[in-house]
Amino acid sequence: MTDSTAVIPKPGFGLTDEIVARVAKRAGVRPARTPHFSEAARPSVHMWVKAIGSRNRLAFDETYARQSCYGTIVAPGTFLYAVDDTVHMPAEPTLASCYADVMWEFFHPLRLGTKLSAASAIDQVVVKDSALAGKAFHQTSTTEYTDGTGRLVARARPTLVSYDRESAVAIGRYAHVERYRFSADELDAISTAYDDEQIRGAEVRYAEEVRIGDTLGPVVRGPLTAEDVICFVERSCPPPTYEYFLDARRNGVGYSFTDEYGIPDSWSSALLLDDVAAREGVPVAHDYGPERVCWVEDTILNWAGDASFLRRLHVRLIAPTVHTHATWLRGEVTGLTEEDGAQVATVQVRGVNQSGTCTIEADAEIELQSLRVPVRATAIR
Amino acid sequence: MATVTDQMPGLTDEAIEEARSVLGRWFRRSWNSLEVTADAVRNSALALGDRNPLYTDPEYAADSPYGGLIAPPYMLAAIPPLHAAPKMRGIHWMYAGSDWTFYEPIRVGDTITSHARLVDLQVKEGRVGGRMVLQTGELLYVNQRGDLVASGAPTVMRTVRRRSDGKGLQYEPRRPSWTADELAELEDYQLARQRLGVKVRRAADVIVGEQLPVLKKGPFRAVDFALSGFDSQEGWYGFGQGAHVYQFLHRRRHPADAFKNPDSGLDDKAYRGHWEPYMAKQAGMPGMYDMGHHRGGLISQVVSDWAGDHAFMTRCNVVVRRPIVVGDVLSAEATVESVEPNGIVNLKLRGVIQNGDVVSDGHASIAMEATKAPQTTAEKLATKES
Repeated sequence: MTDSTAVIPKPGFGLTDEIVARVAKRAGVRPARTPHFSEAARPSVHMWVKAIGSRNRLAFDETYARQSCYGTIVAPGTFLYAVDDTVHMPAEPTLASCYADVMWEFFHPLRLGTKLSAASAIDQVVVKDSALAGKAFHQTSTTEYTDGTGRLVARARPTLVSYDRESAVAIGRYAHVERYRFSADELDAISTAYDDEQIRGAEVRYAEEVRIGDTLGPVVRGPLTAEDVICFVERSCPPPTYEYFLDARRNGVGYSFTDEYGIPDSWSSALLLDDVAAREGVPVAHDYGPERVCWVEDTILNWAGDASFLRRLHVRLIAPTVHTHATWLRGEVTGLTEEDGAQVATVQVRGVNQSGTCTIEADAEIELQSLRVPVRATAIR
Repeated sequence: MATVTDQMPGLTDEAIEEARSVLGRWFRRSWNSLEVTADAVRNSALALGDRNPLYTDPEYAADSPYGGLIAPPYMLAAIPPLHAAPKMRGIHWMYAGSDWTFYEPIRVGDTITSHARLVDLQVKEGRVGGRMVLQTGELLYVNQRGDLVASGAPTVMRTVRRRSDGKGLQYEPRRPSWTADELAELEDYQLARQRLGVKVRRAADVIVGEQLPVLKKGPFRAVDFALSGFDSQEGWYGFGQGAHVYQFLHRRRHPADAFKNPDSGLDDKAYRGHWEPYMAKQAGMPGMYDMGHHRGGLISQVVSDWAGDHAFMTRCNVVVRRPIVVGDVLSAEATVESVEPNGIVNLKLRGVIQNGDVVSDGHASIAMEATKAPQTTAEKLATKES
């Protein structure tokens, strides 16, 4: 492993003045793109929940959903990643990016048939010290999602960390990460966790029955395979292929490289191939960050039940999740308040891999039903 | 723990007979219909690099002879099931192509329901892989009005994976490389490609023997095979089964579909050779290899680009002869074979990679100046019955 102390002190490590100047100019830019999905259509939502490993019947079981307080299928809020994944990487060939943090605010449930569009803006780009690559850009942006009537249904504020690839490789912060070989007992434990996953579903969770310290989960995801990642990426943000990849390269988008066979490839290959991931400082092919945000959401919705409403979700992705790794998500209730008549539970969730490394930290606010008023009064927005 | 060899069962007479026992029986599937959305249509075209605005541009499509967005014909390959090749678990599936017949355009808003059955099973001695079985299915696609919009006759080659005893499919490894000059020339060619679009090509003006402008795709990447988004609509593939718990439950129900990776000890799909060098080798392929069911969609673009919007593809039969691997460049060729009095133009198709290997061949038919096949539903069904 590289001796990181020898390289970290270099000022502006890997980031030239020219790159810093170009990337800094991104603040205020409003990147435009066509939504991948522009409607909460039945097949899109169904395949979405399958892609994130959710068994939330409200999202795909029409008969079940008709009996719910919504009266129809409702997509989980993070389905909006399939409309626009909120990721706007700087167009710099030497920079890799990772999804580090996101604050979601949800204002309305995503009922079946809702037309959806997104508008994004880069808010701020700052250079910070980075244990991963010496220095890194922290780009914050805002993506607002509106429905067919122009009503704001959700807002996401992600932070994308962009760093110099060669610096990350030289520093080797994640050089120790490797594929994990599970024992039979460990695999049995994962199997049991899948079987035992608790899904509140139609059983209403009332605020009056919730206590601080109540637990959420466990929910397990993985052991992560390429196919899991493919499921997610194909349904949210498939990278350009064939002629469209050629367009992207010619337009200087900067996410491609040329491999040792002279073949241009996109950095998305790091989601499939170890040797490409290694060029970005992670020795093993890895997940696409927003996927883990969906796992957290599912953990919360499993606990909260259909009639509750997740209104705020803050997720921090603090270490890579690579192929073969399993993630255990657990949480607890940390607060209960009443705000303008709404019963709000605050929860914290952590995702820890099979080796005990915490890869996800999250907190969220959920509006719960109250025994004092009929369920429909607050569930229908 | 299962060894690698344990995971490569032989092709036994009993397994073949079991597969033969379901010949002619229509499948029961719970996931066999798809609502065709504008998103799904656009994303299918983007996934295979098809620039035809009939699939992606609502305004353009509104002014076309179809009056709105239509689905590319190859989108049917994303509606499950892709093929009808049941039984013989643990014996590798190799999609060998499909003979598609198209009757009606598929429009945004349609709901397409598929029906499938196995109609033929033949045991062969393969040139490369030894004993193998060819399973041919019949797929019917019906829209919400009960119109038969298309049918398919997919063939799947079932073959034993590479085994330590030397039996099974084994291609020589291949990893093509390209110089910067070669790539620049290729890209210029690809970017200069012309589509007929709104212009009309009349059958009377088509000359037998005419060669269509060659379409070039590639160099292929693992991303093209695995992350294109083509299989994400209501995908037939494992992607359609879902991730995490869904994969886990599938493996539990179908243990022979899983293939343990000796390095990680984890069960995973045998078809991951499309994006994983280790499994590609175990499957006996020359490298990470393409999705066979994408092949028809890639090659048929050579025809649709040439025929334009005022034409309707009535047939597309693309046979997958050899794998395409990462680094290959595909040249899709088409030659006019005949012109029928009713305006149908018949073409011979060929897919060739850079070393001259023919990886696909087949035929296509186009009804010029038509927006559907010149047949009624009753005639179609009569044709199918006969």
